[in-house]
Amino acid sequence: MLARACMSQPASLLNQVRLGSAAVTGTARRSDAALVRAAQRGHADAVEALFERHWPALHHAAFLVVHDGSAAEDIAQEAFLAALRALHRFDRRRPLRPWLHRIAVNRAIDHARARSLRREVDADLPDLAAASPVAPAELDDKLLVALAVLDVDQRAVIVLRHLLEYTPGEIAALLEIPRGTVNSRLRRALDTLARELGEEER
Amino acid sequence: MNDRRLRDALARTRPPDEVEARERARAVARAAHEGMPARPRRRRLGVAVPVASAFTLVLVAGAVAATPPGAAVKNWVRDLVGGTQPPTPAPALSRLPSSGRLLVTGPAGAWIVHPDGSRRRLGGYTEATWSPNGLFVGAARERQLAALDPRGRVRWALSRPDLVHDPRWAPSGYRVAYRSGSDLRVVAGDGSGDRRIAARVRPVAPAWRPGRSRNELTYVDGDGRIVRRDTDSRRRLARRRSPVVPKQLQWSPSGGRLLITGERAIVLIGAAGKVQMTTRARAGTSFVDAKLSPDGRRVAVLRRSEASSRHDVLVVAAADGRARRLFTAAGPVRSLTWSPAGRLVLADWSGADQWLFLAIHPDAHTSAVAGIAGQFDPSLTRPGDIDVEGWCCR
Repeated sequence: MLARACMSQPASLLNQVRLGSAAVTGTARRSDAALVRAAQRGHADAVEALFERHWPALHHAAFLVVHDGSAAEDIAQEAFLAALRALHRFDRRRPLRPWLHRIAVNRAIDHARARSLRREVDADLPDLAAASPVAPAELDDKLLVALAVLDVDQRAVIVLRHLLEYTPGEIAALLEIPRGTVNSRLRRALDTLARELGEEER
Repeated sequence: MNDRRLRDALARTRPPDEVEARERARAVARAAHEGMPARPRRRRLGVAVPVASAFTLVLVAGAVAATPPGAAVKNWVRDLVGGTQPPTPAPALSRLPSSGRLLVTGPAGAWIVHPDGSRRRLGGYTEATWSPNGLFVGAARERQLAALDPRGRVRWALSRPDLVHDPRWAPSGYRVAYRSGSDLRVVAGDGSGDRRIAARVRPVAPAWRPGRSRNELTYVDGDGRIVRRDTDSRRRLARRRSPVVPKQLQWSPSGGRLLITGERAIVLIGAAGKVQMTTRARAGTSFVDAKLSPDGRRVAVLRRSEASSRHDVLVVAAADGRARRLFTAAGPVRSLTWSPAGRLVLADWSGADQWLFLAIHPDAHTSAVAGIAGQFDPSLTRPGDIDVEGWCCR
C-alpha cells in the first residue's frame, strides 16, 4: 500500500515518506492499517503520519480537478476531516488510499459543479464582478490550460488514471459509474488534451 | 501525448502555496482529532474493574465532599457555574452544531469557520461583516476597508485617512456602510462611490433596515438621536430621541422594529418610533449585548452583574418581554450570536475560553468547545481576544 502510495508522489515527497520527519519517525514504515488502528485509539502521531502520507496527493488531485488553489486546499482539508470523523467505523481490512481519494475527488467534482451554479448567483450582485473560476497566475502551465477545457468529469478520470494511477475498473468503482463510461471519458479527454496541446505547440 | 508524458506533466503541476496549505491543514486535522473521542481498546478484564472503579470513585467523592477542603471545592464549582451546569466542553472545534459558517476576528486576523470545523484565514483584519448571502465579507483593518470572497481573495479595497470601524453590508447587497473617524460613510458593493453620509456620529455600529426597496441606514448622531436616512438620496427619513443611551442598533428581519440596546435597558420600537417592549436591567446589573433572533420573535440578552463577574444569558420574548434564563457563567461573556436557523445561541464565554452553543429549540442540544483562543492563534496567551462577528447563512 505504501509503495503504491509512493509511486504516485513526486521525488521530494517520496523522500519525505521514506526518511520520515521528526514527527513521523517510527510511524513512516507502518502500514496504513496499523496507523488507522492507532488513530482509532486516539494516537495523535498516527493521525500525523496518515496526514503526512496522504495529504499531498489529496491536495494535488483536488487542485487538478478544480483549478483553484484555495478551493483545492478546502476540499482536501474537508476530505481529510471527513475521513477522520468516519475513521472509527472504517474497516481496516480495506485499503485506506482509495477511500480517501474517493472522498476528495467526489468533493472536487461537487465543488466544480456548484461553482458553475454559484456564478449565476454572483450575477445577482451586479456591484461585484463574477469571480473568475481560474486565477490567471495558476494557468502558467500549458497542461493546466488544456485541462481547463475538459469538463469536470473528464478531468476527474484523467487525474485518477494518470496522477493517482488507478485502473479504469478501480475508477469505475470509486466514482460509481460503469467501466465503459470511464473508458469513454478517458478517450475523449485524451483526444481533447492532445488537440489543445497540439494547437498550443503550433 | 503518451501516458508517461502526461503523468510527468500532471506530477509537475503543483498547487500554489503547497507547503503553507499543508501546514494549515495539519493544524486543523490535529485540532479535529483532539476533539474526537478515541475508540476504546477491547476490554479483557470483564466488568470487575469498572464496577470496582465506580465504587471507589463514589467512596472517594463522598469522603472528599465531607471534608472542609472538599466542601470548598464544591462551593468553588457552584460559584464558577452560578448554579447552572455547563456542558463538558470538547477540547477542540471539530464541527459546528448547526448549519452555516462563522465569521471570527482576533489578533491573528479574520477567519471563516466551516460547518465541519475547518477554518480559513482571510487576512489580518480586525473587524468583519458578512454580505447578506454570505458570498462576500466586508473587512476592516486600521485605515482600510476591503471586500473579500470567502476564500480571502480581495475584490477591492479602499483607504481612508482615519481608522475604519464597524463595516456593515446592506441587505440589498449593493452598499457597505462603515465608520471612519467620526464620519459615517457608504460605499457601493463594488468599491465605487465612497461618500460621507453623516459627520460627527456616535461610535455605534450603523444598522441597515431590511425589507425596503431603498437603502435605509440607521445610526446615532452626535446628539444621541437615532437617525434613519436613505443613503442614495441622502434624504433624512426620521430623527428621534432614543429612550436609552444606545450602544447597539439592530433591525428585525422584516424591518418593522428596531432593537436599541443600552447599558440599563433594552427597547424594541416600531418604525414610527412607538415603544413596543422594554426590558430594564435589575439594580447592580447592566446589559452587555442583545440580539434579535432570525425570526424576530425573541431577543438573546447578555446581562452582567456589576458586583461580581457573573454573566447571565437570557432569552426575552419580543411580544411581551417575558424572560427566561438560559445560562449563568462566572467570568466575562463577550457576545451572543444566533445560529442561522435560530435553534442555538453561541455565547462567547471568554472567561473560560469556551464557546457555548446554548439550545433554544427543544430539538437542539447544548454543547461547548474549549481552548478557543489557541485554536485561532496558538500564540495567544490569554483568552478573550476572539470575536464572533456573524453566523451565516441557512
